Amino acid sequence: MASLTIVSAHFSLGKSRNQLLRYAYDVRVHNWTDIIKQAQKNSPKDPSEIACVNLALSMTGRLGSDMFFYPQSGWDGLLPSMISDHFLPLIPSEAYWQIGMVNDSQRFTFEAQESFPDYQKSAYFYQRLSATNLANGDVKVAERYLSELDRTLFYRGAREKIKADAKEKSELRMKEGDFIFLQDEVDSLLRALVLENPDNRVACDYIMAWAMLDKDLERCGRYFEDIGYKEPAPQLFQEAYLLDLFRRHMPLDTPPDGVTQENLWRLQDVIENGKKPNYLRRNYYGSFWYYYFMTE
Amino acid sequence: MKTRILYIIAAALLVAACRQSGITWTDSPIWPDYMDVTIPVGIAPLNFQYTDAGKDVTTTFTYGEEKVVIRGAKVRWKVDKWHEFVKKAAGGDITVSSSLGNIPDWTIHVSEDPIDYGVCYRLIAPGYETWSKMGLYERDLSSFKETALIENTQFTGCVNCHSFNKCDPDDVSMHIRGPHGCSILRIDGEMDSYKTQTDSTLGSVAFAYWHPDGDYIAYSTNTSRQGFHEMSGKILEVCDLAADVLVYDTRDHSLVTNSVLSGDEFWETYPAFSPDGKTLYYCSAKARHLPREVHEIWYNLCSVEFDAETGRPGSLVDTLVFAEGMQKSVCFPKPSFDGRYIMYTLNDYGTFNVWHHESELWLLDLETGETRPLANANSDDAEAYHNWCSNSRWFVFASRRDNGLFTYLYLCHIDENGNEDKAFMLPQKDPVKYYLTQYRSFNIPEFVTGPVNFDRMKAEKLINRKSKTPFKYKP
Repeated sequence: MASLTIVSAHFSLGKSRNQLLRYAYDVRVHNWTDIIKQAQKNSPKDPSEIACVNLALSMTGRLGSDMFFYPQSGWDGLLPSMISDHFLPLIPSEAYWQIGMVNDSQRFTFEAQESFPDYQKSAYFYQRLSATNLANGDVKVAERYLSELDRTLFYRGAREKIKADAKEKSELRMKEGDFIFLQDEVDSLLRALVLENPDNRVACDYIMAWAMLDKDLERCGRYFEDIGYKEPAPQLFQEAYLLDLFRRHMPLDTPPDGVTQENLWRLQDVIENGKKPNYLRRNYYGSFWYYYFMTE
Repeated sequence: MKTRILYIIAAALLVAACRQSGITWTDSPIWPDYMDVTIPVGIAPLNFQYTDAGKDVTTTFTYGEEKVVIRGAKVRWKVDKWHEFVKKAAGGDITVSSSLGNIPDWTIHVSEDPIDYGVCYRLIAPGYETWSKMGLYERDLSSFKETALIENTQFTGCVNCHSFNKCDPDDVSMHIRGPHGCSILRIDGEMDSYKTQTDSTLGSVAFAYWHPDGDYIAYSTNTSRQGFHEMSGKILEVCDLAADVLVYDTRDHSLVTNSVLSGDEFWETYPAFSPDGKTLYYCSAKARHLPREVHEIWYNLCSVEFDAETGRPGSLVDTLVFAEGMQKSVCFPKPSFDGRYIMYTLNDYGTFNVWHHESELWLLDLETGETRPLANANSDDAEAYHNWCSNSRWFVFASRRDNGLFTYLYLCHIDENGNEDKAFMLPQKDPVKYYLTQYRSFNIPEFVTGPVNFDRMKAEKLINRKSKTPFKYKP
């Protein structure tokens, strides 16, 4: 009987919803490798799925090299907007959490918690709310949620783990200044975060991705310089930066900081041969240059 | 074997559910902190719990020859016994002694000033743009009985901005937001639903205040936006992009305003009538560019005359509190019903004071012109949504002092000279359990002099019906 119920639920929810649920679950338990495998097997279409893939790529250090091998969906495929739903906000909540935008992670989590159609509450969301409040120094509020978790069978031992997670994220979050969140200007917030802490790798990934998805070369260049890569930057970020330098007619005799000689040669190749039919598809598929010139 | 496993699992679950948390959010030896407070006769028992005591503790309540001893860390009174005891102590001080040696005796002063029958308030999660179950509730102050007036399980949307005419439960104004957006008015027992937006006004009406005659209601109409802070310690900001004050005539459903209460150069909001109905108070701020100038939104407390014969407000503005000069902002002016005072909140900027941790209650003395903070009522966190009891000797407000997020209700006595006593939390039967499991915030508490007797089924039908009676704008 139970098996029949599960099977019927699977079919009644629909394949696409099930796929999204699977992605969201993998985000929740940090199965980054499984997310990428899933995306390779079944190309994601929904912006929320794409956001899961981008997060998984960033968490495995591959956003800056592989993101354009996967479908993209603009900003919503990076940091989706708020939807009134009891599980979809989990995806941007996790992304914001990993970036260190604690208040935004808290907001998405809270909204999801308040969206359950039967008014129930999720222990998983209580964990995240405990962590965000601890990261914000709101110990009394965190204690309310932790007290609830202490009363459960499966989450009562999570206190120390939540505290450790919160401590780590409180180091990443913005310390100076106050900003108001605007969905259209998330990159400004990311920039403020990156300027304060250029070692925040996930924030650096996202701000570069944000500008690249927009094909905004000026911002690509500005953000690349804000981050101030000393070691070679991720491949795609180098490509975007070089194209901006080319756009500005900057001298490219020697590779600037964060850029390799090889990528400088590759840019020259694109400049010389990029207009040949199918040249970019054959030689540079998955690069930022292919995305910039060949996609709409 | 399978049955045994099931029993073990069930027992484990039971053990898990029974474990209770201790009180870790206060430095006070008892919670709620009912030490040295002033209470009215007829208030529900001030049950409390020791924050660090075993079962052997005893608490002794003494007044004159009367003595009641309660055993245990959870101090619980039987309601009738409490009322009997407190009635005898009217005008005097109850002494409370604990068997714990480290807690000195304290007193509970019993005022002879009566308090109204109850308070009505909204319960809603302290969230951003989404809410789950929420509604308006009535609480009998002499007991622990809480009754739902209306809940959003009855319609799609939310209910807010409820208002009574000088605590009279028969005259009610409330708003419904969502797909069935409208306002519900009950006047002299007759209830109807209204479409309040007109072609000549900004939008639907919002904050309400009744004229003492009952013929008029002052409303604000606000175009607001929410903003979400990035820094720790701040969550939400609600700003007006435009705001006007209107006066609604309940007899012909018309709205009026004038050039000083509407217009683009200033934002006008939070209207309130004086108890004699001759003055209309409101808050006014210079319009600013947002979000850049959000920290320069400073509302002043102003007034104009009001002519109840014509139903029209005057045009000569008097500024009662120039908060802009202090780079502060006034919100929620509430005149006392004896005409002597106006209570308001003061915060650093902006219009939505409940999300400002620095928000404090202030009192303006209309006789002397002096204004001061209510130090005995304020805390180091946000105080907001205050309202007066019908006899102007008590007020209720919502406070974030207990944890910084969830607002709870506090009651406070104030004498005719404007001297306030220590505020005390709205009593609950098992306060620790109630507040640990209450994940909704109290807001907009209003006293009522009797049960509201709200026909929620009729309200549901009125909300969900397609056509609503329209307000009209009268130039």
